[in-house]
Amino acid sequence: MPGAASSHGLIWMILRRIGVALVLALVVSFLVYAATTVLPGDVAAAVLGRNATPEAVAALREQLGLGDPFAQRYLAWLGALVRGDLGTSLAGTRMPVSELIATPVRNTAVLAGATLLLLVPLALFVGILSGVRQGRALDRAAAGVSLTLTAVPEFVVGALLVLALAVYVPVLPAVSLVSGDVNPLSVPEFLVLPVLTLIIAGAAYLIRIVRISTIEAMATDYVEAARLAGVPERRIVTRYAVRNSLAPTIQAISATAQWLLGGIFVVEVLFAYPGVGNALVTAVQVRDVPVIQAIAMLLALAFILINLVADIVTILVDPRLRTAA
Amino acid sequence: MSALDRHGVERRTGVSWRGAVGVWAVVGGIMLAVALAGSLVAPYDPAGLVGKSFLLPGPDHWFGTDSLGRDVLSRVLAGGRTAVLLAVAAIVVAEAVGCVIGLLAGYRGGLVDAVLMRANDVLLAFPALLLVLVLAAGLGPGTVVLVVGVAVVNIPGIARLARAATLGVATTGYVESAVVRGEGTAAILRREILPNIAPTIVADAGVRFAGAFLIIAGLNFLGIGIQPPAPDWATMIAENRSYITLQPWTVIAPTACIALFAISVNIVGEAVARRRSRGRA
Amino acid sequence: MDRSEEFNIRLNRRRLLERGAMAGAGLIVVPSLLAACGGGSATDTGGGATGAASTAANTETTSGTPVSGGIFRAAVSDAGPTETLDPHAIASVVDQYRAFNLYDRLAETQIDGTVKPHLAETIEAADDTSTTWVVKLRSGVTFHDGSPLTANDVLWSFRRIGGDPKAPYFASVDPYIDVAKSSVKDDLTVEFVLKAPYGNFQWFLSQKPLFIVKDGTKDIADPASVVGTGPFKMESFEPGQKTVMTRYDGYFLAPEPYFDAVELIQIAKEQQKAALLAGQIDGTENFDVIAQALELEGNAAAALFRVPGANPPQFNMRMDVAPFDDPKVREAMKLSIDREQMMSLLFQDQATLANDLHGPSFPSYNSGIPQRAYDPEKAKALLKEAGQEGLTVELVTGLYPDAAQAFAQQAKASGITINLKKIPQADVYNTDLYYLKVPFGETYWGNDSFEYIAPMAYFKDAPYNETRWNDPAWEKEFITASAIADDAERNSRYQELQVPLWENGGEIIFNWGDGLFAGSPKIQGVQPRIGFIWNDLRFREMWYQA
Repeated sequence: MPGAASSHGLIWMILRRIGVALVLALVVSFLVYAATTVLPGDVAAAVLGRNATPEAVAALREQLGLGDPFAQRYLAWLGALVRGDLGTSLAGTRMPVSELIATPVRNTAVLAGATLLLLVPLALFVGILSGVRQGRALDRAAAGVSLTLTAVPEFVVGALLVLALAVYVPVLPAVSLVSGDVNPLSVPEFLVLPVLTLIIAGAAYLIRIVRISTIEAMATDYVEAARLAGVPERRIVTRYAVRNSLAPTIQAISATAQWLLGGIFVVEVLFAYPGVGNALVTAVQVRDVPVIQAIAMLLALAFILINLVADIVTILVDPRLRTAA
Repeated sequence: MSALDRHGVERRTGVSWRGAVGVWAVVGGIMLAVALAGSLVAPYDPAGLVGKSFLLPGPDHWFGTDSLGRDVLSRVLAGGRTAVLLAVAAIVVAEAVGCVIGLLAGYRGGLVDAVLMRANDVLLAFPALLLVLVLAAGLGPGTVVLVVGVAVVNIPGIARLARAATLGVATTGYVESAVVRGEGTAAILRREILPNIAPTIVADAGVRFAGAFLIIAGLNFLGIGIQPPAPDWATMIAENRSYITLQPWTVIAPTACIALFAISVNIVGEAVARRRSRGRA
Repeated sequence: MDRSEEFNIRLNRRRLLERGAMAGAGLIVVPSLLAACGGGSATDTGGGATGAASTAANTETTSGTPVSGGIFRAAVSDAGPTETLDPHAIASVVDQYRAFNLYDRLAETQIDGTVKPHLAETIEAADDTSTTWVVKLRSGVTFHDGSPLTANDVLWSFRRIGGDPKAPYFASVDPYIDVAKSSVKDDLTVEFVLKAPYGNFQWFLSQKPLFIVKDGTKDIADPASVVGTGPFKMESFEPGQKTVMTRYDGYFLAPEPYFDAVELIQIAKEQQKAALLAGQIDGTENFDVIAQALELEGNAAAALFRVPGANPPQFNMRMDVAPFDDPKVREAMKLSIDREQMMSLLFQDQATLANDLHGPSFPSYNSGIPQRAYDPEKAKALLKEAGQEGLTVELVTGLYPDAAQAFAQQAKASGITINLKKIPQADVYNTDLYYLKVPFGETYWGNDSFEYIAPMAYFKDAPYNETRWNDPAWEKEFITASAIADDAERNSRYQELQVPLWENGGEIIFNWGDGLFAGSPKIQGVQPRIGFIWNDLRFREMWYQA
């Protein structure tokens, strides 16, 4: 039965992708651990600083297990990580890392979520429209703007927006300052500038991918055939073009989400937004190793997961890929 | 920041925009000149305490002064060189290492090939900025982290490109005849293959340079890279952003420099890449 | 063990602990020169300050008769998961805002800088050696639950702080007071037995964590069991967001307090100015950027207040290594910093000149020593004498990168090249890499008195002997002086000890930068004084103009 064979192949493909993702996660965990613990000087003393008594240094070395061989330390750390134990922060309060990063994680999720929620529909709309009306005014304008903006780093876009909307026409706060446990959604005015910055910096890329995919889809034999059969253009766009550009678009959305994970640091720092990016930069400055490890792993896992989901969804929606399997 | 992948895609999705390319090429040339030689025409010592702090633009200080009474114009003129040179250094290192790996992988295949592909997969599972930040946690901030980090990020991609190009060349007649002549692997790679894949590698390096410059600027902004008192555009944005309401020009000037430089490199790079692909077709 | 050694060790332990607690509150390691701590001085030292109001352009207006009423909404920026209501475990700035107003200490610094008994009526040495001190309490002081303050409460409080080695401020009390031997003499009299003679015990009792709580209070960090004698009582507490304290009508210093209530509202520092101008709060914390505070000058919607000299940036030269082992080189370095230009660039002139010595706000300060000036020519001559012309040194900077950059420029005139090694702020006190190791580095002490700093910085084996000051005779003289109970005599001995320090020491202290904060223009009764902002957090002294 070809159907059964095909669905079998499909499951096998998905399982293989999951396997690859797991191996990747393992390798990444090794790299993160190695990079953060092979420090010049003594981590324990670096962390404790001026208040370090020999006993305190010894205790911290113990906590970090610095006396043990590297492989043993790594495995112990990995074991704890798998059990969800992220360790204890080395900074003043010595809080559990999971507790310490809970609020930043939520804040970053809110920022990234709000950005994607606005960015994806916007980019799809503009991208498809540009693709369908290739070469016309809208297309040319969108192309020009997006070509310009992809080149500009997020902190420059953000700085320009601050200048425009917080300094010259002061309608918005220049920094986010969602503090303590306040949900950033409850003070949306602080979200505007960071989200706007990320949309402007990220939309250009997505628009261009969607546009190209649309142009390619509009040039396929299906579309030609449909045109010849007299199917109305509007219907061709919704039925064929959009559907056929779905797979590359999903990949592009996933790439945008991944880009967000990288771009969000800079934007969070620029606007003093209390998310994981800010927390990570601070942790790097104070060398709070467990926090660095936790956030780096978290972001890398999110990165891998986004990729995995996008791959699986692409396999499911793209009939060509399915038959190819 | 996945500027690299973004650039990689941009080449395939290029938009025709011929007239503007010339303008941007001029802008890019000016910005490059400013970055490399601007300090020669700077009216003041970029590190000198030449006035009161937070002076607004005036005849003595066209862009005003910063928090330490330093001339913003002079700092901007001197503030591009290090980042540009570091980006060049990182790409040179990455190209050197990446090409060797790619050549070997393409010509010999086997284990190098497999390791290379896996390394690339791992790298794609990690935002470039995060990778360099984690490195910085270990190595401490500084220019070494910038060069090492940005090189590491680029090596697998370069190696892959070099491998693909090598594969295309390795089966051609003149390589085969060199093998028949009994020449050693190193000689074949150097004399026969490298010259043939060089144009591809160089064109790619241009695009990678733009990406490297952006990552380095981002890291400098985060305070991980170039350290004061060295003037740097991104560092200037970071150190002056809390004073933005007092003296906006301390932020406007370096912001404009980075934007103009990045946009022009991107547009010109794209135009060159498109011309090449059209020429090939 | 001889006495000086013992004394030394006690102080070390105490300082370590205090610094630890304060570092947790972000008070010790200032993020940058201009981003000094929210509370001005790191410690609540006293000992009788004199020159508190030493700067120009104070915009404070203190006029008229105090009137009662109104709610004072103060912004705080470090409320969060680490907050505590236990006054003997305070760490965050917001903890201190609360403890200073819910509780009282036996003694307090006054507006003129002297220390006076507060809950105590008298604090007197019972013998010539200053080892036993008798504290008589005021009568009629009541707790928020109406019960009277007794000697039992006082002894219980000190035993709570200094009787359990695990208590956070154990080392502030244990090396000094023998809490087991100290005793209650009658309802209102406590006898403190010290472990060694200590002349300035009145100042000792005014220190930050020595709050008096009610005898036997259980679960002191529970909002419901906050029972102090302070001017305000606990109304509500939302960690990380808001604390409300209401007026305690039975306060023993009636008619104080004047406000009906005080609210502490969590607002990030950068947003406080906007919040003040929008009328959402009535008071900010210290501004990180002085110029931004100065923008409020002439603004009818805000009044500007100051904590004089809260930010003393400091560079240190190690006297035991080349080239700084040569006193001529040290002198040349001190002459190569342009203190006036620093004041203008770093503090917009909202500062006073410093003279390489600590504690100018305190009576133990030797103000007769001439002010060092910027003199590159003399510096050059000294370097020539020392055979060090064209000296090149490396300054390791993490706390004051701006000041370090400026110093590097200024020293060029003396032919000195200062190369900067920028390190993460967190590494400045890394004892493995930099702290006490680098020949030329930096530190932060805050606005503290000479006598407070000396045993920690100028004793041979002191934990923070950053410059390696090493003079056994000097040390002995300091210990002898500290046992003297007479203020004038003790201070004059301290002043003499500062002369060699000024001539030969390795500290470069060039500016006392003011902390500036702002509030509603209706606020009255705020004075420029060292310590924390808002009159050393005495909201009880403030009122709204009718």
